[in-house]
Amino acid sequence: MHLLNPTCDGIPVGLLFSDCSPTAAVEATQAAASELAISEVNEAGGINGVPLVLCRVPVGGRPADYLRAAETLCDVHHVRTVFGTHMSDSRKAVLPMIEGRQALLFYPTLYEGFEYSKNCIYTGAAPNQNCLPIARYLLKNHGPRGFFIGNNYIYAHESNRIMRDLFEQAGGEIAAEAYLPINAPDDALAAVMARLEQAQPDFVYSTVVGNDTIRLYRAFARTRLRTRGVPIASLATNESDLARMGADIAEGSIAAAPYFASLDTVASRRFVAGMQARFGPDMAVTSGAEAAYFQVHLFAAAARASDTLTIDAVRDRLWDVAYDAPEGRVRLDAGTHHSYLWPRVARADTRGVFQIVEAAPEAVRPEPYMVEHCLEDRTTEHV
Amino acid sequence: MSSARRKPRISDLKGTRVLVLLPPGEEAEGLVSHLIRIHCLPRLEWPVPQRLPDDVDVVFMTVQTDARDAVRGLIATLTDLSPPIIALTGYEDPSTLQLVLELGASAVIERPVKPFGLLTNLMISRDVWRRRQSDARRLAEADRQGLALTAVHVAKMILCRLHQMEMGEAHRHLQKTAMDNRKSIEDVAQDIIAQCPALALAAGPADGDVGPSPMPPKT
Repeated sequence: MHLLNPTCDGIPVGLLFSDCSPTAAVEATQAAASELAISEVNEAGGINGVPLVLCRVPVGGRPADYLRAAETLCDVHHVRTVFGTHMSDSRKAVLPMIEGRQALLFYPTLYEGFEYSKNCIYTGAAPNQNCLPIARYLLKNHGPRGFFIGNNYIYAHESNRIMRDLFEQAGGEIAAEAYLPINAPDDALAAVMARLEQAQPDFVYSTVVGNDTIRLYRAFARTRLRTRGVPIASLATNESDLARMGADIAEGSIAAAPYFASLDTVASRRFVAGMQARFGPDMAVTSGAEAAYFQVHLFAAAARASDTLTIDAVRDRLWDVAYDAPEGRVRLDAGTHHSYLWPRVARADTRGVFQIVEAAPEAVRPEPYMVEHCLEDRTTEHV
Repeated sequence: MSSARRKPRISDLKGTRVLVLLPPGEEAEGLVSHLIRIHCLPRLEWPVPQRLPDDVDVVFMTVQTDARDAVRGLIATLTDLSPPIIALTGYEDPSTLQLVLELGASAVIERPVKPFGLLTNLMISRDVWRRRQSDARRLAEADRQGLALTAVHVAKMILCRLHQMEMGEAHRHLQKTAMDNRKSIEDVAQDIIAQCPALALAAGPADGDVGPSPMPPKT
């Protein structure tokens, strides 16, 4: 019996987002969205009258810092429900501790798949929910020859393996794969740009994340390829990156994610308005933020439906609840602990805003262990 | 017969038939549901059966103390063709280790089983097993060829004795007989040996420069 540890103030829930990691910018949007959702849950009466109590502790930039912060949350603040982590190395660093404490980690970020933990709920896109749509889009609209640029870590290598498989299966070809260290020096970036110009690909696929994204897109904007209309595509580049790089650099770049802030539905407009009312008009709204937002609401719905406030009871209820998220109605898959999500492809317009160009007609089942990929068309609606 | 190794692929995992020999309970259920999650076809059985069924590709098997007799019984029935076995162990004591070695386990996973590491051990076991199978096939083929060469040599010796032929002549005779009868040279050699067992015995070991055994090969 592992309790959610309610105190006289309410149920403590922890946030695990860093303001100094390489991906601090998007993590700030995820932390903000979690906060927004927690206050919405409390305004609606909390968990059957018991409010959620938000616990935040400073989180440094390295995986070990996330672990230390998670330990503080669990052991000092008695938190058993944690929302957060962003890069895979930070998730991997905290998960064994979370499992040991019998806590729950809600992870709101796209990642490379091939993971399952009884104590983790994954609400970001699994590879089948973003790799497949972006690969199809690039093949159809830009051509079969790709050039991969990534940071030298797990997400980039695995995402590239999947993309390479998909393209080669469709008769495409990957001209080269280039890996840069995180915070890559300028000359390393310049060297990759030189290789890129030489390779003359039809598109660039980037698995660079965080601050390096801005520098990569800037460097790419100066190449002749960009003037020729060759796009740079990524699953990790988001609205916060676009805002930081500026519209002239961002224009034409392609992304795939379950949510884009420009999605014109009531739930989406309400979410964007809520974020900006609370955190100011400059708060970027990203797909990671949207997942961070709906996962709090899914947790709250499951907790309300539980007879007892224990981890096991809430987890059992998680598979039965659904939530009308900004992206559409979402629910969790009991078998994999991942989420049914709505794949979309977007292209940045002249104002540097991602505009949706393709959308799945229904939520797609997560396949974190995608051992075989097939580009075969699942119907997509053109917007 | 190619020595080039096929590159193992993660997609080979799909549909792998896995036999799980664990007492029913939370651990067994957790293992079975993870195997389903990674697209395998698991089947749970307990107690340990007397012999392994033919229709499985990999076996996960506990070597816990109270199942040791059954495990030993099973070990006695294992052959080179038995599927790879992944041992599930809770202890690393010498008697457990002994059993793991006798099982010819291709991987070992610590109990209680966790999802992390399963996929890797499963893939490695399958790969090691495939390599072992392909090595066994190559060995068998090499044996067969060695025996065939010996038989041809013995047959030539017999021909030399019987018909006072030179080795070259005996060779051409074998070739011609094989062509005329649409048989392989080895088969013709076997026929000759079968007709003159006494000569074969005399011819074989004395000049055994091509192989240790003058006995006709089994095909």
